[in-house]
Amino acid sequence: MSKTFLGKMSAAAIAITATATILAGCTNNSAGTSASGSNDKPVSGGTLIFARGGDAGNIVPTEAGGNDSIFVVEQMFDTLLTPSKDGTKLEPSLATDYKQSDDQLSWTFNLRKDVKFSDGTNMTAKDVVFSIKTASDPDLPFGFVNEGIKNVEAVDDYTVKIITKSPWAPLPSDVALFSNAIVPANYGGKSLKEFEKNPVGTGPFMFKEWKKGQSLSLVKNPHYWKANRPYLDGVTFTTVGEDNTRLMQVRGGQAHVDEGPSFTTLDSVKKDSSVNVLTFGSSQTDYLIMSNKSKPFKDQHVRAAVGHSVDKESIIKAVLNGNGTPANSFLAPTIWGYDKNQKVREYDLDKAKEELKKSAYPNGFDTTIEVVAGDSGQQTTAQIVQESLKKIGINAKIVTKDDSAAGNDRVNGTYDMAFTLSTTDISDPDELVKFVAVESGGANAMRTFFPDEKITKWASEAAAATDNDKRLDLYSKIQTEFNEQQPLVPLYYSPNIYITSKKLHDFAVNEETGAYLLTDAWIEK
Amino acid sequence: MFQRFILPTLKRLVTLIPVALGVCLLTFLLLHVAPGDPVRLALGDKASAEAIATRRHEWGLDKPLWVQFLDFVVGIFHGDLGDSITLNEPTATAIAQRLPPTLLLMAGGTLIGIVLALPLAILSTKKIGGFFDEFMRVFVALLQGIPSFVLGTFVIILFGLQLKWMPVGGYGTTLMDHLVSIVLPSITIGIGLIPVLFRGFRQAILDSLESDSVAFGKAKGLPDGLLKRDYVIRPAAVDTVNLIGLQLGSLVGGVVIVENVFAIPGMGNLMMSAILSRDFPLVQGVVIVFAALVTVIYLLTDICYTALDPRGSMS
Repeated sequence: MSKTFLGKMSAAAIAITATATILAGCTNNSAGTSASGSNDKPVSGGTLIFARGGDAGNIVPTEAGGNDSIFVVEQMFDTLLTPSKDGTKLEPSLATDYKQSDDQLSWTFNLRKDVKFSDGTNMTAKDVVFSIKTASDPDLPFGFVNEGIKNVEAVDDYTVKIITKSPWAPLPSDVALFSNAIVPANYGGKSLKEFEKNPVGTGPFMFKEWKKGQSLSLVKNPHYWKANRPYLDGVTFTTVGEDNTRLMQVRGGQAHVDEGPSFTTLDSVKKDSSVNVLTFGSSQTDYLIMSNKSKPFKDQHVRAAVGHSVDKESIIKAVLNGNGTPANSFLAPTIWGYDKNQKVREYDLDKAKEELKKSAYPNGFDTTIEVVAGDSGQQTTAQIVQESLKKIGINAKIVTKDDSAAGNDRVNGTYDMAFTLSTTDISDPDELVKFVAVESGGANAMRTFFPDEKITKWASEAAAATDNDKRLDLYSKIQTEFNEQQPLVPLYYSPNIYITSKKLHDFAVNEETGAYLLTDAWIEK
Repeated sequence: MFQRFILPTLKRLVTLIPVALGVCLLTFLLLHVAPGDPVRLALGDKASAEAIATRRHEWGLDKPLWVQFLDFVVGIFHGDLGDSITLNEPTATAIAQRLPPTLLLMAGGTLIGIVLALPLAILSTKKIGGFFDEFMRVFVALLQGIPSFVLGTFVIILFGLQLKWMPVGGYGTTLMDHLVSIVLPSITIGIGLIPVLFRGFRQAILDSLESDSVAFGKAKGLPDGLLKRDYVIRPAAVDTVNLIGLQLGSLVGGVVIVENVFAIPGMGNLMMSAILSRDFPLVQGVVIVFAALVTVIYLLTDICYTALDPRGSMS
């Protein structure tokens, strides 16, 4: 009896495995042929299922903090200007054109006259005045962006004047930031709390339903000002924390987009003909930061020694599976002002030893590298760096902390070495330069707490200068000085990678800010 | 009746209060000892110190720890679990949404576990030490070594991606969606339960086979079928109810992982994201509900056990 039962079981098991293999072969083949079909004419309809690792926190422009929130805000709200897809320039959006006054102290924007909010009311200058004034409160997460703005006035129904405290070159980029997106004046008579529950904007999609931590649904805005757009009936952002599950949902046809797949799975995914692996440029730059509050790293020679000990090529191979390029500046190549001729300390352990000899720690010292738990990229990078540092006499212990705890250590500078990264939200380097290189610039020079008077001075000069060549020159000098001082080691530039269903067409993200561009996206029937 | 069931149940419910308070205090302390800042996580790296301070005050995180704890405990007695800081809605609302999938998953997983383990145990005990029995011993030991996230991934690849019988994750929107979505995760949990249930069932059957009553029944000349039903399976069932109850309690841990692998928006999933984002009120709320759930399951188990076994009363 037991024998026959076992016999049946194993027969069943073999049958299942065999069927699975055959079916796998079939699906791959059929998908392969349909993918090369001629369906390249956009069709309307369908809801895009967008699987992401985290949910939005707050979807009102002025309150949004992280990218999970920002990228949703940008579907429902528009700004006066918007960064072009490749991030090189600004394009008109709610404003048709703009001009700086001769005294360089004010900017005048002409608005489109055919724009309606998703509730059907007209968008006029008073909405713009309210929105930008509201966004300028320094208590808001991105309030600092508007620090150059003195006042905002409505000249007439469709003209707005923004007055700056001093000549302020980044202003057009500032108003292109999501936090300055246009909401109805006085939130259409609602309180902020009520508005948060049912936000109204001029973007291609409008709010439908939000099950916090699970899914956020938007539907097509019937009043959208771009004719015949969007093609999609709606977008649903689902929160799926596990990398693997997101990927399998796209492969299984349950989602159209997997945001943030792990680089190590890409090779196997590329063999699956039912999905696309899309690669977009990005402004993301990863850093190895050194805290100026940790004694050895106050010594420039120590920092230089670390600079010579980082094998970027090996890191890119191990962490990004080769999908990246070594960084030669803290700015990414997609950012205006990036200087491609910058030189960084090359990987050379002999030079590293020489630098260390010149320092106050010629025989090395004990230190730590802090990594975020569950981040295999940081773990691997730390091991590679640890290995090299050991050869020059620096004993670095790898300390693992969870995301939140590690974040605290960075904010307080209570670490020795750690990893972090930056992306930019606007098309002007001003925000990022102050953030990464200026100690008083809001993020304590990328949490290195490294003070550099020259950089601080050049950064404010660059923000006020109106001549582009002069600005470029200043940003170049800042990058050179920063590389010389080396408060951090810029590691690599990595692309934005999305895995999408073959049925989804014309999906893209902005190469500088990472914003999803869904207005032209469509789903094959 | 009163002596056997009601009085012990009441006593047990009263002991729930100190247990709940203890759980609250422990969770509260652990959360606050662990470094990390919900405000920084919510506002992002670029927020200014002023923005951080404003939000901290808004969320009541600037109050002394003991005040925060007291607020929370007083709230519970008013039936108020507080507001989740990341979800921006009452903790109770979030939990009410997330509890059904978890209960469904626990029930489905246990059911599948029993359906798979019981026949195997009965077959295994047909010939103790026989080939099948030995095979199962090894198989069960191997199975126990497979973590549930590996098992879950395997189940997804086989049934979701290759055979395409089932969705690979998520929970859907309609009741039918929910039931279909719950199948694969339930199978994962069910398979994970096999080792413990199989061993428990097998031992229970062995025990009753060796009992005096079976010897007595045999001596009385009872037919084999009747003997098995009344003298072996039924007494064994009493022990297994207890076993299943205890398993349900420890299942809570497994559910957290399986929900994350299958993207089921249940309590485990909620707890994971709440911990990672340091959403203190939400973590406390979820932990309390989990603690209450486990206590109630144990209580129900004891009631069933007592009802099935005519000898004892609940202790």
